[in-house]
Amino acid sequence: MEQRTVIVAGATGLVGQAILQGLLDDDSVASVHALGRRSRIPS
Amino acid sequence: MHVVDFQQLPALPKADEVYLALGTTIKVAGSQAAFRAVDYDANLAVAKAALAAGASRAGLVSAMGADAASSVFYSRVKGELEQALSQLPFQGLVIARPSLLVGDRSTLGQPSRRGEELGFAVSKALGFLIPRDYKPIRGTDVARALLSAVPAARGKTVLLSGTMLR
Repeated sequence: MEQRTVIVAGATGLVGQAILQGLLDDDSVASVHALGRRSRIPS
Repeated sequence: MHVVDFQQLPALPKADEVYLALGTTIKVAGSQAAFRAVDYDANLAVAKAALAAGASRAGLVSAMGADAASSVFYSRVKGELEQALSQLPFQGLVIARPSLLVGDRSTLGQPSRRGEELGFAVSKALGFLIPRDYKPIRGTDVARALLSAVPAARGKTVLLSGTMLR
């Protein structure tokens, strides 16, 4: 698959955080733009 | 990470895909109107901005029972969002409708949701009686299901908990 660029809204939430992690672990994803109301991404 | 005001969303960077996972509760938001501003308005604004930025596929974290005709406010808002997104020209739209979500909200800096904890306890005791679509599901399982379905999505797909559970 060609490289994808992805936007995530709500990446600090319960499901959004897991989506963000999955995208960051995916080699087919070139870049991820996370949109949030807060700057903190829990680890 | 872009910190944005969802009521005045800037133009988004060019993208292929968008995941919509904004959500709150009426209790945290403080009112039904404030809840709707997040769960409906903000998610829809991001979807439209992503389309304008070239996105052709979208994944949504909705909820079991989402129905624009529901008499329950929460389910109605979720249903209205699903309906509004369905009318946008995405090539592929995947809607996840998880039942009760399981996961540690405290590590996210979120207050616990007592209904979730109570429901999970009941379901552990009576799990054998509960149909798969109604069983509690981990946030990570919902994420995994969306991540695998969205890249190849065509038209509209709805995922219930039973198909997302592992």
